[in-house]
This record gives sequence, C-alpha cells and structure tokens, in this order.
Amino acid sequence: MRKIAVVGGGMAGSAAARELSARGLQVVLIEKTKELGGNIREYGCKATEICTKCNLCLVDQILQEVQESKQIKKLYESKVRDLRGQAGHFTLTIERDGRLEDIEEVDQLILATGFTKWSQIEGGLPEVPPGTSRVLWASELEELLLERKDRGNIEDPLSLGYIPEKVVFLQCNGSRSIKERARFCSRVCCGYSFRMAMTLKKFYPELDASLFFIDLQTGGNIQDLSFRRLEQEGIGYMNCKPIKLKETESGLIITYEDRSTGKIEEVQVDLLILSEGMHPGAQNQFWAELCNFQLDDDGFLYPLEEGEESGIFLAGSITGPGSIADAVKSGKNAAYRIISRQGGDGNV
Amino acid sequence: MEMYDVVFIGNSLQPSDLKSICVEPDMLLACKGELGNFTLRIQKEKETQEIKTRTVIINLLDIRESPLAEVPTWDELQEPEEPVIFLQDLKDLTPAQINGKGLELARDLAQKGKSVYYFYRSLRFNRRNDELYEKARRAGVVFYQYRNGDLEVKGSDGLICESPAMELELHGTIFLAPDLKPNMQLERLARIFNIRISPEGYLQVENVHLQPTYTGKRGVYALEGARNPAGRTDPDQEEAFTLAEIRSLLSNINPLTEEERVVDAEKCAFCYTCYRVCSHGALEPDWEEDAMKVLQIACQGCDTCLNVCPAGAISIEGREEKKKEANLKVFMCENSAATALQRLGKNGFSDLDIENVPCLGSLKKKDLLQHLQKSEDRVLVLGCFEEACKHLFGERWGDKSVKDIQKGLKALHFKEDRLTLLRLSPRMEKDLEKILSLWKEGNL
Repeated sequence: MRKIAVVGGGMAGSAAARELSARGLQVVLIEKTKELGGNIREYGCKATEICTKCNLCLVDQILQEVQESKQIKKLYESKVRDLRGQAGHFTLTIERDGRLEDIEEVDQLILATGFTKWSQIEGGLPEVPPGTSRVLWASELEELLLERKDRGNIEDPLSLGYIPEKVVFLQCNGSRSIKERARFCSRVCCGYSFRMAMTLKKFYPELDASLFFIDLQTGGNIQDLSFRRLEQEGIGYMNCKPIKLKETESGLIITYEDRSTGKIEEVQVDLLILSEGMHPGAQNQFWAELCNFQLDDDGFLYPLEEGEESGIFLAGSITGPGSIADAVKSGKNAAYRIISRQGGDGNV
Repeated sequence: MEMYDVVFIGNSLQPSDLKSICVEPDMLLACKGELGNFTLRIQKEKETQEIKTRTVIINLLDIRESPLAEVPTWDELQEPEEPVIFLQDLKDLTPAQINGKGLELARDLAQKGKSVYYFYRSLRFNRRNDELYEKARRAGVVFYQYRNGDLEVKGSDGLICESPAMELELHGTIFLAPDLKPNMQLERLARIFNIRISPEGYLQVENVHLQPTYTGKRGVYALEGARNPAGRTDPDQEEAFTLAEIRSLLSNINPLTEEERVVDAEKCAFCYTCYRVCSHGALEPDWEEDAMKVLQIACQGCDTCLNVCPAGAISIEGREEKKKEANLKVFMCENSAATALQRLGKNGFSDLDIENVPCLGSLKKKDLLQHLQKSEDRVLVLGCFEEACKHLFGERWGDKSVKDIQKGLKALHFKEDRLTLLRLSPRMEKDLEKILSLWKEGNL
C-alpha cells in the first residue's frame, strides 16, 4: 500500500490526512507539537444567539477522526530534517526524541506547516506595559472564548476581571505595513474581529464596540461584511490606524486622526484587542530550499512545478493567509489530487 | 445512454480529462436522480431529450449593471480620455474579484502614462489584489478613500468629493465598478434541483458546511454567479477544488450512512412534505409506486424526513426502537454537543441516558414523549446554534417538536421545564459540563 506523508497536523494537514485515509491510503502525519489542531487548537466559539460562521464547527470532527484512525500513523513532537529521493520513493528524515529516523518509500508528500502569528514575532505594544489586562491579542481573547460561560447567573462570562464598557479592535496589526514586515492584507482578521465584537456584545449588551481598520474585508467564504452590516449591528468603525496609545488608571487613551474631518481625536477604552496578521511560517525558507520551491515577495511558498510532477503538494497557509475553511478546502484539494492521480494502481 | 462525468449548467470549465457537456440554463426542464446518476431532461429545438451525468456544476455569470444608469462600468472601458477616474463601492462594497479587475485596468492605463484616479471606500483583497494594488500605486495611480455621503458623481465626466478635511472637484472619464445581481435563472434552477436558495437569491445559504462550492445536494456544485459575490474571493481555487473533488469522487461514490431510509409506499400520502423539508434534495417522487422514495447516495442521514412525515411512512431499515433506560434522558446532536462531550474527555454522567442523534431534526415528538411518561422523567435536548446545522435547517424541526410538546405540557398543567432545549457548539465543552451537572440536579 502506498504511503503518503503529511507534514503538519493543523487543519489543512488533518483534513488532507482524513480524506486520504478514507480512501484507503496509508498516511504518516508528522506534527511538531504534542497535539493536532495547530493554531486553532485554542480558538473558541463565537456564536451569539445564532452562529456567526466562524468555521470552528468544521474542525473538531475532523480532528477526532484523525486522532482515532488506525490508518493514520501520527508522529508527534517530530520535525522533518531532510528529504531525499523523488516522487514515488521519497525518504524523509525526522527528528523525534532527540533521535533521527528515516521514513522510507514515501510516495507523495503534503506540506501543511501553516503560518506564524504576529504575536509570536512581535512582543506587544511598546507604549503599553506588559501584563496589562486592558490589551489582549486576538488569540488571547480566543482562549477566553474557549472557556466562555454561557449559563446561569454569571458576573464575568469571559473571566476578564471587569465588565468592559468600551472596547476597540485594532485591525491591520501586523499587516498592510512594510514596517511590520507584511505589505499584504491578512484577510481573515476583519471577519474574526467582527465575530468577536458580536460575541462580546452578547455577553455585555451595553458594550460600545468599534473597529480600527484600513480597509474592511469580507467575513469569509460565505459571510458578507460591509459598512452597512457594521451599522446594523451597532459596531462603530474608524478608517485608520491609531497614532498613539497611553495607559492611564481609568483605561487606555487612543489617539487617532479622524479622516473625515482631518482632526486629531482621542478615545478612552477599557479593552483593546489586537488583531494578528498571518505571517509566513518560520520554516518556509527551509522548505523552499529542501523542495525546490520559490518564496514569494512576502515569504510564502509557491511551487515551481505542480504537485503532480514533483510529488509534493502544498496545503493551507503555507501559501498565504487564509481562513479555517480555506485550510480545510486546500487540505482536501491536495488529498483529492493524490487520490485521483493514483486511482487504483500501486505504482507511480 | 451516454454517461457524462459533469454537466455544466451555464459555462463550461472545459476540463480535458472529464467527459463533460454544457447546457444552457433555460434549456433545462427537470432533474432526477442523485450523485453518480443524474438524469437531466432538456429541451432542444422543441424536442425534449434526456442526458445522464454523474455530477452537475451550475456555473452562471452574474448580471452586471452600472449603479448609475448614465455612467458606464469598467467592463466597457476602451481608450478613454484622461484623466481616467475609477470608482467603486458606490452602493454596495465591490467584491474582491471585481476590485481586482479595476486595479488591473487602472495599473495598465497608468503604466501607459495616463493619469488615473481610483476612488474607493474599502479595497477588498484576495490572493492577487495585494500585488495589483502595489503595482498600481507604483505606476502612479492616485488612490482616494472616500466616505459614505462625501462623493457626488456629476454625470459620466466628473465628480465632487467633499468632506470637512478636503474639497475636490475632478473632471475626467468615470468608470464604475459594476453591481452584481443574481442571474434570473437561479430561482428556477433551485426548484429543478430541489436545493435551498439564500435570501439574496444565490444557490448557497449562509452555512459553514456549504463551503466552498457545495449546494447541500451531493454532486451539485455552485460556481461563479451561482454564489454570492461577496464570498467569491478566489474563484480559480474554488474551481480547482470542485473539479478535484469530482475527479476523486468518480472512482468511488458511496452512501454516507450505513443504514437505509425507506418509504412505505402503502402509507405514503404523496404530500411532498419530506421533499420540501430535505436540505439535501434526497427525496424524489417514484411514479411507479405513487410514493416518495429516498435517494440513498444523496441522503446525508439527518432523519428530519422521518420526523416531519405526517403519515409516519419513512423508517430506517433494520433499526430497532430504543427502550427507555433512565429517568433522565439527554439527546445530543452528534455535530455539536456529542463532539463537545468527546472533547471533554471524561464522562462523569453515567447516570444520564445519553443518546446521540444525527440532527435535532430527527427528534420525533413520539420519542420525546416516550421519555416523559413518569412524573420524575425529564428530557434535555442539546443541539447546534441556529444557522450552524450541518443539515441546514434540521435544527428548526427539532426546535418545533420541542416547542409543540412544551405547549402540550403547559396546557396539561405539567411543568414545561421537564423538556429543555439548549444550543451549543463543539467547542463549548466547559459549558456542556456545567449544563449537564446543573440539569441533573434540576437547577438549570
């Protein structure tokens, strides 16, 4: 039976592995951490009274199936160190428990090593002292949402330690800026911040929520997000990035330029959520050299030849920013291409 | 009869390795069958004929019109007089795909040395647009982000942009981003294929399980103008995905569930309730039997049809009815609560009779009542949030069953809270643990 190696146990890698194993192919899934799920492991549900289409409902059944599948060999805490050979007969060298071992006779390879969050690159805001509860990275708010308390008489449903009255989301953080090493738009942040704003408003009905952004993106594959929608939901917006931040006893003071009047304005908030641009994975350079891929101007990978030629397929955010649904889609796509190419015969 | 791999309704993607044919939407009269074996009836020059296909891709163009009747769109751009003014987001925000076309045209003109202005409220990015935007700026296109109400178009040759921050009067040739409207044929196609249509008139309702190009019916895909333009960020990738899935499916078409749902032709009143309710287009009339039949490949096993059938004519072959085990019964949808329970990792609720169901839609009133017979009996139903249902509208039917029984309980002066429905997601295992322990004690 042919063996397919999938590198990365995030959503794209897991979706690919499940699809391949469902069609009877033997899969080796190589994951650098102890668990599947990658970046989305700690994300929380953003439903209000209804679903806000955050896509998280797509993931857990896939992850559980991969977890339980006997046909998928999972190698945790493992890192690929070398790749030799060619399509049909790859040999992968991986490092596990401090030892190197070879996986031989790998037929095809799927790379799904994901992205780096802006918070993993940048420590935070220089103007704000570390450890303040007034500033949260979006991924930290995700973790609070994972623990959300919906039922009963709950004072502090998100364990913030206080009831926020005014919250601001800072978009285009780690995106759309050469200084922040990303000239591109990460595309997913407007959608998740909008959903987070909706969820916060469910928990704190009196909450005044608004977004700072350069341009407003759609909310994902299906959901539309527009100025009109923000107005309907009672969410404010400022078409700019703030100029200055200052923490005082009573809250954070944010200074910005109101583009419609040209005047400098100040706003005081209880809570500032920093969106996180999706940056290229730390290993992209390594993969480019190892597999003869090109890095684009932003540091994402693109293949010089199709996977059908090279035997190496790319899936998920290794090729650029994308949503959870995009990761599932591209993981399945890579698997489909391998399945239909190989048909029923055993040789490539 | 010849069997095609794909029939394209509208425009063909011309995949060279798949046997395909293209059918104009107005030629299509009817569709029956399911993934792997559809039969389409079409009208061609006053004659009707049938074609057989394994899959269907509905790939229509949008209707494009100018948001202002007297001003042309950039679809009509030819050798314009300078300066050239591009204007988008006038009524609705321009989708990424159209935005990209505008950026490309603006860049090309600027690279030829023309003077180009680009007015927008929000640029929409996809895989291509970041680069196009940068190149357009480098080529000298002047970008201006206006706000709602700031801008006034004066015919096709000038505009005034006025805000407290600045005043600008500009003369030149204006080209607008076209507004996209759903193709008029979509409603008809939705009826023919028995698939759900969104309030905006597209063949995808807002539901995460329909991504990227699924319609809810297996083997019928929606591309390009069949889908809401706001969500069409990377059409090339979505096309590639759809064809890749079809190629992989062709060698292996299987039912999704092991058990078969069957209609008892004696009991079936042919009322079409199941046909209308099924989100997967998995029921169709069987004229030989004068009854409905369940299409086994199309069926996704939500069992909502079993619940809604007024004659009780649909059943699952070979399944025995479950006996009542405990006084405390919990029904969990396997797509939300049951997944959350698994995430919880432990099950300290062995005293509860927990049963996983494929969808809230499968909950029959009879089943709920069976667990409410004794005075100490209580039932908890845990399902997905509205609009998160994997079977699109299944949860609504479960909600209806529960509400009807609650009404009955109230009318009979029983406590309504003996039957409770709550909604959660697979990621709310902490909440689930709390719900179960509170409910067990009767303190929810």
